Amino acid sequence: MLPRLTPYLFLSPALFIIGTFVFLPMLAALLISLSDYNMIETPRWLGLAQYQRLFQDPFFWNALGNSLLYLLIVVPILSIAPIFLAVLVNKKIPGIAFFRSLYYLPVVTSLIVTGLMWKWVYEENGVLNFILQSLHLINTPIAWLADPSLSLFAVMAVTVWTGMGFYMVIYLAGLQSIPKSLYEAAELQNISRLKQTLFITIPMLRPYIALVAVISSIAAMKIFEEIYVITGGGPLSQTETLVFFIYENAFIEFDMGYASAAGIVLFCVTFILSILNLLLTRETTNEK
Amino acid sequence: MTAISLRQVEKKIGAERIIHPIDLQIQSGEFIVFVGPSGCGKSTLLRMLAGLEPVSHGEIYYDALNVTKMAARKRQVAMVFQSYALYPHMNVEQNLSFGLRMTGHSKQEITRRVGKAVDMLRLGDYLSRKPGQLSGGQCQRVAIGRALVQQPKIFLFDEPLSNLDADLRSAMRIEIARLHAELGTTMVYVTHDQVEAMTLADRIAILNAGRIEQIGTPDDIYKHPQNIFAAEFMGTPKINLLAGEVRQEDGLWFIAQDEPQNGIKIKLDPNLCRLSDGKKCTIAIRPEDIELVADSALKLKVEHMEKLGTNTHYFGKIGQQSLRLSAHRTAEITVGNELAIHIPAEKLHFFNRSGQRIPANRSKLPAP
Repeated sequence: MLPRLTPYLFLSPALFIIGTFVFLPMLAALLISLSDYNMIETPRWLGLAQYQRLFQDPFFWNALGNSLLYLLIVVPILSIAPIFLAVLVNKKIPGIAFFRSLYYLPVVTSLIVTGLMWKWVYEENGVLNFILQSLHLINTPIAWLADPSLSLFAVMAVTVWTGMGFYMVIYLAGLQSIPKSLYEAAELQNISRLKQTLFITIPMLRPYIALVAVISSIAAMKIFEEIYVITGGGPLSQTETLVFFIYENAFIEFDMGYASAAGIVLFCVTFILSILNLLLTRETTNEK
Repeated sequence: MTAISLRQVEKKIGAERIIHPIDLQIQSGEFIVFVGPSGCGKSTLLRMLAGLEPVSHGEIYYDALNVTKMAARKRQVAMVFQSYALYPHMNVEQNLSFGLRMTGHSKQEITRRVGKAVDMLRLGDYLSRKPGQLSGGQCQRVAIGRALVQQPKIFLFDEPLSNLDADLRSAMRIEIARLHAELGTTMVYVTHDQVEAMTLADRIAILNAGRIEQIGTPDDIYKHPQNIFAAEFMGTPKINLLAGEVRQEDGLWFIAQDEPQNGIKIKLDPNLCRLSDGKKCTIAIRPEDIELVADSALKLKVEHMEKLGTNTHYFGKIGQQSLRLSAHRTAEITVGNELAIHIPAEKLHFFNRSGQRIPANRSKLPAP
């Protein structure tokens, strides 16, 4: 009897913690999303009314659209660009460890700090405009954060900048798992370095690319801090993402039921992405 | 067909000398094997020939062309790696054709060359498989095929068979020998396996601690080892070594120094031995050169036996001196038996105290 229970006994502390802080809140959110809970009054059962309201709310669609746009632009960049960065820092050059740390620095820096720094960079009289003007690329300063057509992209750039080092490290691990002899064989076959990268390195990194795509798309759907610090969702809700929409409704409007409904939608989107990516990763792993 | 010549080629890593200056001529079309224990520098030497490892000093020539500083990719050599180094994401056919496709060969040319390699190495059944779905032997054939389609000036093999089991190894040895016979390309082959060296090589270079100990035909090296290292490295079981001195007393004798009283005493042929009374030396005799006789003063007490079918290896001692001998199987001998043996003077090798061969006194040899 005891041996059969033993594994569960070992699992129980972890299960208890995950249950309390993950599964229970998830369940609670599902229930709250079916009510009009506002933290003060007794919640009333509303059924699917919050969802109905959500799907008729242009601000929700705007936020969802922004999140998906974020995903579509940031994920491909973060899945591909760090490969080249990793290839660069994978070279045996003196002092390369310094560059590796340098690229990783944004990852370990608090997002609040980087957010404030970038806010300053993007200011009308900030560093970016100063550089562009000094180079005579522009005559008048650009309102990076105030221009509704630019602000979302400006924030995306920050996400890419901060994420680059993190994904670079993942690719670096991938690169170092590729046997050196493959490149030596290619070298003796008179294959150029560029072709080696394109036809050996990148295909060999496929499982890692799938992994990065999973992580970065989930991260993209959950973007919040950059928005909160840099634009606060503005201008004209142009940088309002799904998580920011949830935050506003939950902790500014105290419309918990409504926010929970949006949270459940976010959960579904992330869940679908995860399943999709899991299948993708499994496929590439099986090929090995 | 390309001849290779190494002139004072040397490799240093930091202050440490990995390869001491080496001079070596490899004939066009020759099959040369670098053999030696791990860490002797044989792979490094091969990689320097390929251009994968920079040369610290000296020069390497392909025919008259100095390639010392030439990039690996310009050298038109092909290498077969111990790890096969096949591209895991490509199937066999793609692996074979990849190099040609990347360097702009025409479709017909690629088809022709790949087809020829596939026929030669009998890879037809696996073309659409990926390396992960192939056995070690099949992988190695693909790796050889990939080298083949390059039509290189020189083939380099870096311990290509060491990951294979014994059966496959001997089958692949035959394939590689056949390949060399068909192509006639210069081949340089690195191994730590003396059987591969003996069976494949036109010439063998025995390396030890970054130096060539001896270079010669397999026969030459086996029959006339130039030093104790070469003598010990070639042959299974290992050659017997006995240290001692030459004594002139009622004929010329060798006395093993372990047992001056009742130990091994071997009668020498003064025509074959240059040494005079009192000279210290080491003698060596191959296990198969020791003869079993009906009666003798030398009696080997058998401690261990390895029965190999036709032959049996006997390991035992005379006094404190260990000896190995190999003979046709004799059913009645068991562990604990004492074997009467004869050590024929004409089969002895002599080495001086620094381990170098003392040549036989050929001037006194009777004309054949």
